[in-house]
Amino acid sequence: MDLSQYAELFLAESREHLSACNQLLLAWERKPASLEPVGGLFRAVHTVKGMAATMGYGVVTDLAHRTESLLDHLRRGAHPATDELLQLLFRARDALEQAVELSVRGRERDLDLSAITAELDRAAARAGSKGGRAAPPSAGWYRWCCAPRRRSRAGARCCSSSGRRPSARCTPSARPPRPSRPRTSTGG
Amino acid sequence: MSHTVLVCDDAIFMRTMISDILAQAGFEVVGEAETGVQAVERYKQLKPDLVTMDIVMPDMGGIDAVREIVKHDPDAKILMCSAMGQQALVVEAIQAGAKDFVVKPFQPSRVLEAVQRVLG
Repeated sequence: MDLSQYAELFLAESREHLSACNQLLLAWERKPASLEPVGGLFRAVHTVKGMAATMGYGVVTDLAHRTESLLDHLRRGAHPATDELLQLLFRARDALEQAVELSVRGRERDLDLSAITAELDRAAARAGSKGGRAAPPSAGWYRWCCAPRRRSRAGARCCSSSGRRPSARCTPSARPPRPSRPRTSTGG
Repeated sequence: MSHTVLVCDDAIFMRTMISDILAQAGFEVVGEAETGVQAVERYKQLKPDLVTMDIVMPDMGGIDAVREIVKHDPDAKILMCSAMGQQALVVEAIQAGAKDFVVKPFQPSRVLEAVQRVLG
């Protein structure tokens, strides 16, 4: 299967999720005790991780996985937002954005992410030691991650929690727009 | 006549890729959904032969969507699409009525094998 035909779509959707992460971090900063922004962040990073893994972008996948692990610890321990955590997560988001942009150009190895990944791991270990041990996804994790939203609007799920404007991809009743890049045969 | 499929995933990237894999194999993708709530609504509208269902979706996750769909149609054929490390959730989805599962990142051949198993 020729994955290059999906690179543009990966880039556009990753940008959208990472933009949402900015809004979610700001929302968490405004309400430090709220877990809802953490759930939104987790879903966004989880989606980027899944797409990157499918594309074979190992650097993005690894960074997203470490960020996701920290978010899982924070959720399990019901950790409130702190300046330190918010700064780290903003930097992780920025690093993910850079990694995504470079990955689609075949340059993901140009990035040195050792400092941010080490910080994410340390923060996850600290959060875990305070009662937020990560564990394999379970029913409780699923309910937290996929719970119905109070402000749910039909056809606008991706906008309801992130503060983003409704976009075409929020209304999947029609076939979504395809990348403008000419398609090549995948050989079936 | 080709089998009809409803593709459910919150990522347009994944929906597009799954739809392409299935369309190239001769299936007819009749609809898409990006939340569990939409998946249930579209299943009732479209009555597809097969559903591919992501687990982590907003508003209503894939496992709850499976429960709702099976409540509506006990013969529904649903294939779960899970990420690595979600084994416990896959088991729960199968108990809820899903017929089989594939693990992301997808290999097209694995997807088609699972689809064929589900369709019998």
